[in-house]
This record gives sequence, structure tokens and C-alpha cells, in this order.
Amino acid sequence: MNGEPNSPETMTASAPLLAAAAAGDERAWRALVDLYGRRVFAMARSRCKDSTVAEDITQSVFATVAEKIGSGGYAEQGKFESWLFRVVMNRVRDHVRRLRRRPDAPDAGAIERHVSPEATPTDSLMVDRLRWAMDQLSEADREVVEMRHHGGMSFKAMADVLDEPVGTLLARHHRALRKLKELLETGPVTTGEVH
Amino acid sequence: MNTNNHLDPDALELAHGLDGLAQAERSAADPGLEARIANTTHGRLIAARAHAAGLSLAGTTAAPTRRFVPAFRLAAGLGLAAAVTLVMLNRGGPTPMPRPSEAAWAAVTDAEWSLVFTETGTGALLTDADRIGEAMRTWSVDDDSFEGGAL
Repeated sequence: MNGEPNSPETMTASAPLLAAAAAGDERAWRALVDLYGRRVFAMARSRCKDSTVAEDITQSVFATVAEKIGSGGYAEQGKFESWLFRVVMNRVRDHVRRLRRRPDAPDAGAIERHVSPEATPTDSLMVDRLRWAMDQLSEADREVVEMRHHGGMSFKAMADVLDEPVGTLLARHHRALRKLKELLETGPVTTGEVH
Repeated sequence: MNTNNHLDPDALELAHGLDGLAQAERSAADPGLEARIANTTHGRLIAARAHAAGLSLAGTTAAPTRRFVPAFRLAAGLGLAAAVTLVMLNRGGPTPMPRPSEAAWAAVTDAEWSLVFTETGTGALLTDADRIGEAMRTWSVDDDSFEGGAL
């Protein structure tokens, strides 16, 4: 029930769910959270690398969504996903900015390179290396990768969020993957370096 | 399933790896994430609905009245203008304001002018203006205060 990213079911199911949830139907609201909750969480966790903080961000995002659709402040025009993930991106950026401003925080790079204490032995080597490589990407490249893979967004929805042409985002995604590949070929090899 | 169709085989493999990473991030949530989020946020949705419903109920009585206010104002304005025009036409046009002649201005003595200045405070105002003018004349162009501005 965690919402298969990019599936046609996800894209078409949200409209009636939104209408029902906006009318106060609790089951519809739960279904909507089921559909998008993990994807929002994954995007937040990719940045903050802390499940508790990621859950706080997820909750804050859905609180905003609840208030907007409850008050009639959101008009469904088939762009719910874009709107939702714009809220997510803003929340994540705010969080990263806040961490960078904290006087007792380590430098920004160190924050982003921080490796989760929650990483389990079941995490594959590939996943660990990818986490490290993601931290080396530029902000713009990283956002595209996270929106696409963690958020499971379509390029069309990403274009709406980032206000860029789809072609630009396809090219940026491809460039980011090439960069990741280079990093994986030249970067740390052992899990010890990553953990 | 989560790939850019224009990717070459190498990039495609990496894209699948990123899907795996995303799945790992999703799985890192504590069990019951969705239920917790839904429980804590549904109340907000209901509160927002109630608030919006309250506002629109309050607005249903006020809105029609507000819609007619500009029309009433316009009608009142036109009526007033018509009444004034009628009165003026009955009197044979607007009454001209009396204007003093040159001779009358010349006849005002200095003592009378000073009385006007004292009564209205205009004299004090002119004295202040003179002081400010004098101070500006004595300012130097090399004054430090000019350094920090847009000059």
C-alpha cells in the first residue's frame, strides 16, 4: 500500500481521493497518505539521513496539504503530485539551510556527508556507495535524481516543480547518472570508508 | 520501471541501482509511518474545513450587501451632484469668491502681517527654514557623511 511510484494507478487514483479527502473522508485521506507518504519520506531521508527528522518533515508536509485541501485552498487540476513535491522540496531545502545556519553545526558538506548510524548490515555495498556518490553531486543534479528515484516522479511533474523544460531535465538526469558512474568508478570502494 | 528511456545501458543499470537506494530509504521508516502521519494530520484537515465553512457561512449574509454598496454610492453621488447643479442654476451660476485687489494687498501694514505670523505660527516656521538653509550652506562637500551613501 505504499504507492508504486509513477504507476498509472498512482496518477489517476489521487484525483478522486483528493476530492473525497477534501470532503472530510478519513479513509480517503489515509489512502492518500499511503500513496505518497513513503515517497515523501524517502526524499526527506535522502537529505537529512535521519529517520526521525525525515518523519517530522513528512508530517509537516502532510499537515500543509491537509490544511490546504481542507480549506479549499488547493484546486485540483491534475497537478497534485507536482504541488505536493514542491512543498517537499521547499521543506527539505529549509531544513538543509537551517542546519547550515546553526553555529554549532559542522560545515555544510560535513552535514551532507554524514553517514547514518541507522545503516544496517543488510544495506548492500551498492546502496552505500550510491549514498556517498549522491553526496558528491551538485545541488541541481541531486534534486533531479532524488525527485525521479526517491520521489518516483514523472519528468513532466518534475518540470512543473522545477519550472524547467522536460528535455532539460532528461539531459540533467542523464548527466547526473554519468557523474555518479564516474564517482563510483573513482571513489571509495570499501564500506568502511562510506560508513 | 523508474527510468529515463533515453539512457544508455550503463546509465540504465545505475538508474536501477538508484531505484534500489530509494527503496532502502523508504524502508528506513519506522513501521506504521503512514498511520502516524494520517492520524496526526487528519485533524488539521477537519479543522481547516470547519474554519472555511465558518467563513463562507459568515460571508453568505455579507456578500449580497457588499455587492450593492458601490451602486448605492454611485447613485448617492449622482443625486448630490444633481442637487448642487440645480441650486447653482437657480442662483444664476456659482458665486464668485471675493478676491482682494492690488490696492488692498498694498494697504496691509507690517504690523498686520506680523500679527498674522504670530497667530498662525508661520513666523516660527520661516525662522526654522532660515536656520536650516544657513546650516546647509555651511556644510562641507568633504563631509564624511557623504562617503557611505550612494554618491
